[in-house]
Amino acid sequence: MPVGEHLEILNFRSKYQYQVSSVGIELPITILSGARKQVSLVAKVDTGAAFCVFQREYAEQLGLYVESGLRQTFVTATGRFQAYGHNVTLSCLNHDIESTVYFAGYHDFPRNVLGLQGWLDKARFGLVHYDRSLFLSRYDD
Amino acid sequence: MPSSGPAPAHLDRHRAHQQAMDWLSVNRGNYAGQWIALQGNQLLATGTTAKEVFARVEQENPPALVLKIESESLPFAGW
Repeated sequence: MPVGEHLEILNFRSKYQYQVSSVGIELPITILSGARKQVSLVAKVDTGAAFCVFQREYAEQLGLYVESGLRQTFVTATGRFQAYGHNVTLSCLNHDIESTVYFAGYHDFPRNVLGLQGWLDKARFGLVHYDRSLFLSRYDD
Repeated sequence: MPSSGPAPAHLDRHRAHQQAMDWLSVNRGNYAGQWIALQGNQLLATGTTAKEVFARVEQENPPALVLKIESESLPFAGW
């Protein structure tokens, strides 16, 4: 190792081999709300997204009244949209995280996003895209 | 490393999800614009609305993976 360089060793609880895809890096996750309600879906990992945003249809399946949540306006490259925050449990690669996530205010929102607040800020996350490998642990694990 | 591993339910779900993602990598293009439900590598239901697809897989355990296949086939460029 060249002088002055420092080798960091990180440990993670889970490793996931994701598929090569034109739609981005996708993870299967489960959202739990209340004692028994849960939905499993596919979400994109997006370190450029400030929050976690999901399609409205999942909130409805969970029995949540979408508009009762914390209203928030989001901006994207192509416009703005309204979403509503709710407290749920995100289960991903066997890690459960209590979090506030947002559900789109309208139907047919095009995708689900795992962003910084609500997911990445509660995890230790590693990515080696060359190998299509994603590493994950709870932050406090 | 702690001796207690994930609960069996987690393992079942994780295995099913991995199989579903493998299925999606091959078959996604055939269902553009549709809601689909997968249990492992088995396609359980398709439909034009989430409601009808969820209704057909409500008894699945672990829960089926339910998603809408994006109709846009061009590469995603972020928000």
